[in-house]
Parts: sequence; C-alpha cells; structure tokens
Amino acid sequence: MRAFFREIAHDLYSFFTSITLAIVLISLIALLALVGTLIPQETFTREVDYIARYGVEGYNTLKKLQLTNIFGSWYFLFLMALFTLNLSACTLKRLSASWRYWKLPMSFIPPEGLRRFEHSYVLSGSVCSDAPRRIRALLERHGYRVREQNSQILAEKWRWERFGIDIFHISLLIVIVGGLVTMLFGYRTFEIAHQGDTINLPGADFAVRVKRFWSENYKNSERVMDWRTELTVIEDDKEIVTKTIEVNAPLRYKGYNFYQSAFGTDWQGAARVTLALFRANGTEIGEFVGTVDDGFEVPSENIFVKVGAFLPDFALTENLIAYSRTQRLENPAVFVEIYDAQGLRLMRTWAFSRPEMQTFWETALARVSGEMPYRVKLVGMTAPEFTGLQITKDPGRPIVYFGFLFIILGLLVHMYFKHRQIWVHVSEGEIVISGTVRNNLRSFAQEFRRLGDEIERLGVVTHPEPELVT
Amino acid sequence: MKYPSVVLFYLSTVSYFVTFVFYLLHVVLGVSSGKGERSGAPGIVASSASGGLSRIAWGAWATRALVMSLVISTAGVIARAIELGNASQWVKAFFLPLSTTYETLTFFAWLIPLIYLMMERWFQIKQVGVFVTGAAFVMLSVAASPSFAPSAPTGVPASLQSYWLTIHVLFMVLGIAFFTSGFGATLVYLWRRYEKKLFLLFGALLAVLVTTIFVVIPLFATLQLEKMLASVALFAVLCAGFGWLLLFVHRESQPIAWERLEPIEEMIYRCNALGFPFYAIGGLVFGGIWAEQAWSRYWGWDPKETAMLVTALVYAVYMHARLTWGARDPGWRGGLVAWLSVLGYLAVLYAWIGINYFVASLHSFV
Repeated sequence: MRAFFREIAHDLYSFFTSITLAIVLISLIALLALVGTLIPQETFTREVDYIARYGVEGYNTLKKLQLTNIFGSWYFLFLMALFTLNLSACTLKRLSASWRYWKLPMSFIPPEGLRRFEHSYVLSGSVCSDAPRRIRALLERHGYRVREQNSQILAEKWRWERFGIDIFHISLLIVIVGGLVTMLFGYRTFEIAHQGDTINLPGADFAVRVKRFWSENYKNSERVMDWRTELTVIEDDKEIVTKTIEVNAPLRYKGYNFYQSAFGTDWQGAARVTLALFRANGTEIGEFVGTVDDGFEVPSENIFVKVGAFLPDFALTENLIAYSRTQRLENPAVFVEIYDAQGLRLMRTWAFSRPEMQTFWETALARVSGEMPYRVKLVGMTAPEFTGLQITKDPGRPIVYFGFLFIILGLLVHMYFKHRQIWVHVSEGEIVISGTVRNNLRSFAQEFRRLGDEIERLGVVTHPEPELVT
Repeated sequence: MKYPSVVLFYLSTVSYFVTFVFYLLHVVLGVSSGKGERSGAPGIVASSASGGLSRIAWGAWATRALVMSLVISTAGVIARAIELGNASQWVKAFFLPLSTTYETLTFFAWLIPLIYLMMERWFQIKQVGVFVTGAAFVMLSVAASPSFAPSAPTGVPASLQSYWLTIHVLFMVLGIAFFTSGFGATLVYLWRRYEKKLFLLFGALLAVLVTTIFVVIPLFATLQLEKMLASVALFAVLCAGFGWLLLFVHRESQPIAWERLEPIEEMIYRCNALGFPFYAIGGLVFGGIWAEQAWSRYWGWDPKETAMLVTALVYAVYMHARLTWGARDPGWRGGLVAWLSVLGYLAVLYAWIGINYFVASLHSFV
C-alpha cells in the first residue's frame, strides 16, 4: 500500500515538474488571454454595451460561458492555479539542480577528454616553464577565477549566474503572492467628488477633503494638458497634508492611494434640468427646475414632478433598456414621473431636448399607452463639474515591488551572463585548451578562438627550428 | 516644410528603400562578402551568368547604406524630440518622441534597424537585412501617409506625462526590435531548411490565419452554442492540420544540413532571448509600475496589456520548447521550435498594431 502511494506521489511529482506541462499550460493561458482581448471584459464594459453589441441572448450565452469575465472564470483560475503549482514544483526541482551544480567543482579532465570538447584548441611545440603562470595571469585579466589541479589550469567565470533563472522564477511567484495579498486584503473604490466634498474611507482614521479641482489647456489650444485636484488630509479635525494630485502623480497616505482618474460634467449624477410642462390640450403650464433624484411641485395643478435618470446620450438596447451611449451631450433625455396629491402616479415618460426625438417618443408612447395627461419637454440642463478619484489600499505593494526587482535581476542575469569554463592542460610538448559555456552557444566559438589566439601570442610555446635537410 | 523631422524621415524612407534593394541584391546575386558565412557552407550561389553585377560586394554596400540610413533617421528622431518638447511646452522632461502613431512608427524605424545592425555585426548573416530594412521602409511609408498618421506634433496627453513613458516604451521597442531581427532570421532559417516547400508551409499558415479570422471568429461570434462548438473544433482541426503538414514535410525532407542551419538558428535564439528581457521587463514590470501610478493598478487585463502578455508567453513557450525539445531535433518538434518564433512575431504584430483595430483600450493613443 505504501509503495502504491509512493508511486502515486512520484507520478504526481514528475507530472508537475515536467516542462511539457509548463508549455501546455502557458499555451492554454495565452490562448484564453487572446480570447479575452477579442471579447470586451466586464471590468471595463457596461451591460448595456454588451446588449447593444451581442443582443440579449448573445450576452446571456457569453455570461453563461463566463467569457465576459474570462480572467475570473473558474477555468482560467484553475489553469492559473495549476500553472502556479507547476511553476513552484519546477522551481524547486531546478533550484536543487542549480544548487548541486553550484557545489560541483571544476575538476581535472585528462587531455584526451579535453580534445573531444566542441571548443578545443591545441598548441604544440616546446612549452616554456613559466607558461602556467602567464596563462593564469591572462585568464585572470579576462575576469576568470583560476585554480590549478594536477598541472591543469581550471578557470571559470560567472558561476553564480546559474541561479539567475531560479531567481526569476521565484520572483514570478512572489509577484503572484503580492497580487493575491492586494486582492484579498486590499480595497479599491471610485469616488465622484464635487468641490468641498469630504471623503471618508472605511477603516481609515482620516478623511480627505476636495479643496478644488481644475484642468489646464495647452497654450492657444483646446488640448487638455492636465487635470488636477487639490486634496487635504484631515486627521482629528486637523489638516495634515495638502497635495495637488494629477494624472501620474497620486497622493499616498497611510497605505491609501488617491489617483486623479476622471474629470468632467456630472450629468448622470447631479444634472439640473429645466422642464417645460404642457397640459394634454397643449396649453403651457410653465417652466420648472429640478435636479436628478429629486423633483418639484406644480401648485397650480396640484401635482409633483419627479426627475429620474438623466442620460446625456440616450439610446435603447434591443430589449428596450435605456442607456447613455457616451457621457457627451449628444442626445440628452430625462426620465420624468408625475404624481397627483395622493401620491398616485399619473404618468411617466422620457423628455428630450432634440425635437425629433421628442416627437418620435410621444407618438410611440401614445400608441402604446394612450393619451397622457401632460407633456414634458426638456428645455435646459446644467450639471456641476466633478473630479473622479480612484482610491485604493494596496497592502501587496511592497511584495510586488520586491518581486519586480528580482524579476529584472534574475532575467538580466540569466540572459546576459552565461557561465564559462576553461580547462588548460599544460604538458611538455603541447598545451590543450578547452572550454564550455552554458547552453552550449556556438557564438562562444569566436570568443574562444580569440582567447586561444591570445594564449598563442603569449609566446609560451616555441616551435623548434626546422632542421635543414641538405 | 514646417517640421525638419518630417523632411528627415522622408529622406530616411528613400534611404531605407535603397538599403533594402542592396540587401535584396545581396541575397539574389548571392555574393558572400568574404568573411560572410561562418559555416563555410555554400550560401545561395549565383550562377556565373550574372557576371559583373555579382562581383560587386552588395552585402558590404548594403551595410554601408544601412549605416547611412541610420544616421539620417537618428537626426530625424532627435529633431522630433525637440519639436514635441516645444509643442508640449516642456511640461515634463520628455526624452523620446513617442506620443502619437507617427512618432512611434518613425521611432521604430530607427531602433529596429539599429538593433539589427548590431546583430549583423555579431552573426555576419546579411540575408536577414532584407526583412528588417523592408519593414523599416514600410513603417516609414505608413507614417508618411498623412491620413493615417498626422505628422504635426501635438501636446502630450496627461496620461503620458511621465518619465515612465520613455522607460516603458523604450524597453518595449527594444524588445520588438530584437524580435524583428529574430523573425528576419527565422525567415532565413525556414528558407534554408525547407526551401521550396516553405511556400507550401507559408501558404498553409496563411490559410490557417485567414480561416481563423474569417470563419472561426465569426462563427464563434454568432454565440449559438452549436456553432461555437463547431468553431472551436474547426480551430483545433486547423492547428492539427498544420502540425500534420509539418510532420509530413519533415518525413519527406532530405537529411538536414545542420552546419548550414545552426548559425542562423542560434541567431534566432539569441535575438529572441535578448529581446525577451526587454519586452517582459518593459511590459510587465515597468508597464505595471507606471499603470499603478496612472491608473491605480498594476494589471487590469486591458486588451493591450493582455496581448502583450500573450506575446511574452508565446516567446516563453519558444524558449522552453527550444530548451526541452532541442534545436537539433530533426523531428516535427524540433521544427516546431522555429515555427514558435514565427507565432511569437505574429503575436508581436497583434499586440503592437492589430489590437488597436479590435477593441477600445486604455492604450488607444499608440
């Protein structure tokens, strides 16, 4: 029984440490990510935009297959978990191999063996006695660490780079851990603030007040140069710090970060509309002003007009859900409900500012619901400017940065340093030079030949004068 | 002309075209420039009929022309940096002109051949130059069409006003530059390995791509369950079909002349392996740090980010595959290693250009 489990454990180990598994997993992750670039993801796409693009049924299919949130889908997370396991196992295996390699010293290789190396070079002639010393000095000048064993010079360079790839793989895991920490213990929110607003954050012992915000244009141009918001941190009713944040320059305080993230006119949140009211027979009652989510009374009629949603760019999806296509004032519309004194709803409708939309809507509505007691037209609208602040708490940040640092180090070390070893066997009649490099690069041949030439130019090997044959 | 950089870029367009022609002549007339091929194996040997023309060392002239083109486009990039600085009122220290499509295209057309020149001096394989200078010429020509890439400098948008723009984009471009040399080398490798059968394989690859874009994706986009399944199945069949064709070609092949292939294979590997750190660090690390400052998160699965990740992953697969399956494996897997390099470059093109036409992205300015 124990043998059986040991066998299973062994099988699992070799399954998770195989590079083929890594290749398959990375390919699958890449394929899914590719799909994720083709289908807009719900983190930055509104439901109504999906419906406008794929229709209701299509959207439901996408949602059922989790394709609208592919990076949070069970199958993607499963792959990622498997990949993390695979990466950890491979790293462990590789690390122990690197460690063994690190501990394995260079050792004497008989000259016959050296001659069989791919990179090897033989100088024959009579070798002068200080050859080993001078060759050693030459190799040391080239940055090699040199020692001697049985009249063989063993030189090597950059042995430590063998750990570069392990450092890289471990750092990838560290970044994954940092990301998880932020995901689990972090916090993020998006706040729309007007001038003078105070933002309180859950769990924070301070508040932040929006003093003012503004945008700057390039000189003589309509192009915006930057958006800025002046924020003040308030702790125990005292102003602690004031900082003007802008895009690319957030405020960081006690682990919280405040980013300048949006700027504009708050149509949907706080529009103030002017409505013209008419009786069914066409006589005008007057013009009234109301804000979104509020309303006004019309005493002469004894009614209350409630202003619902305001859409700066009205559009309908296939299943007749109203939404705003953009945040620009392209086709403004406001949802209006009218109640009588008893609180009974008399009617509800959309009011437009574009006359052709108004006519179209009223005709359509009349066909569906019959004659309405009142007509409402949208004649004016204003909205306050807002600044959009992204606020985050990011406890994984130091871990992620630590990982980033070692990703860079590991990758650079692995790619740009390759461990080289040179054996120089000096005997009476010849010098055999052989070398290896990690990955067995052929381009090492050039470097190796240059080194051989330099050793030759040392003049430690002299050729006997050819005997004159007379 | 209002902007000196535009004139300089026009000049370099012409210059790159001339360089391209020289490289083409070098390949077609096949004069190895003395030191040329280290392998010593016969390159593409010209017939003696071409006589006088083939006696000119086109390769050496091509390299000289390349240096000339690089001088002109370096001047162009410097001029552009100054113009952009003026247009942006020097709000922040901008070192590199990289804020519009025009600027990135002209910048690419400077850096890609520069990196190639380095690799050419290292590996002495000049056939690769045909692809690289051709690509530079195409990029500059595209940039020269005013409707596609207006050349007047505008102020840098707020989201780009950071020194990370320079660092992030420079690393990405360096990565892409190495990958471009690597892809040029891959083309040469594939030609040497498959010769005329390469047309068959490229035809098949093109067919797979076209079918994917025009049949598989639209079929999937119907979002009806059976059709989606059919499209996935079709995609699997297409991939398997290409694999089978590769297997078939490899079975049929003559014994492989490794001594002719190995230098170029190593050039592919070195280019890709040198490009990978730049691409991965520039994208994942520097991109992440910048994204955190500008958009409040390191990673947000933005389409362009994701496409960059896909590219890095394909090259990661390439490097792992080369390591495990070996570059000298005569079977289909060994051959697949070079094709992964092709796939990697297709991913580069998708992440760099293609994605801009598919989805709205936070990266929509480039």
